[in-house]
Amino acid sequence: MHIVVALADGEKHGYAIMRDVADVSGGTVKMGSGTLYGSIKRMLDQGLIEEADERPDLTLDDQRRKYYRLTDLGQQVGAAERRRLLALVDVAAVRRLGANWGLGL
Amino acid sequence: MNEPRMRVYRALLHCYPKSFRREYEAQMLQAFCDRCRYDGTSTWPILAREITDAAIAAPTLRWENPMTRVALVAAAISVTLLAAIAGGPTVLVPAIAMLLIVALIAGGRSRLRRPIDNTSRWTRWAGLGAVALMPAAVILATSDEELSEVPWTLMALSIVAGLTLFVTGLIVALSQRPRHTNS
Repeated sequence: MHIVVALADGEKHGYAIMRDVADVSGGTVKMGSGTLYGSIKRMLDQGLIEEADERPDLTLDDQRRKYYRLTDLGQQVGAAERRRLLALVDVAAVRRLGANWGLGL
Repeated sequence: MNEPRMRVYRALLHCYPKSFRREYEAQMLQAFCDRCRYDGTSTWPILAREITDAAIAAPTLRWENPMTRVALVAAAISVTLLAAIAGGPTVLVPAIAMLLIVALIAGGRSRLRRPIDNTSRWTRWAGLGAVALMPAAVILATSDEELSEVPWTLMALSIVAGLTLFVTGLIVALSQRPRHTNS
């Protein structure tokens, strides 16, 4: 899901995905190259992402870089996961989960 | 880029399966260079993190490779056959039980990682092969003297059917290896 979120706003290469995941998670999730490219391989196999021909990051460009973007299926899976998480958060809010620990619900 | 550390990282990449390296080695090297260049930390902590990451990711990727599971099941079949030849019926039954467990573990793990459009069924063939071998194991385990014609025929049929199903499973697994195209 972290990679899907990282690619939600456009195509990125491996290092940009790593950086985005670390930024979005506040530094709690730091992916190594093996984990990242293993996940990319699986997501390519499953048709969730695809290689992009465009090379938008011209300042950091290199021939070895490959850019990845979400496919339509990846967008659908991301949207479904977002709905699932939102529903879970709604239930947690209704049940006042974390209200005593500074969430102010 | 610090060359000794780059050499260490290159060596580390050999932990990953060959097919994976062929596909992603250049990108992983590039990502490592980028991290060293832009992350604002020294190279050693990055390298240490990559080593711990490889310790988890590389075995996982190797296990996901269908050939690893095929090799594991093939090794288990070899052990079973050797047990049948060398140890006789008393060793054969535990060996077949081990073979079944290996086949189930290999199949179970592949189901967890199965791609959405993958219709792999090779583990079913392997499982059926193990089941087909069971009568032979039971006959061998229960007979004390020379086999008469009927049990011998049943045992031979069981072994032939079991091995045929295993070989079919191997062929199915080989034909369904993931293929990637480089753009």
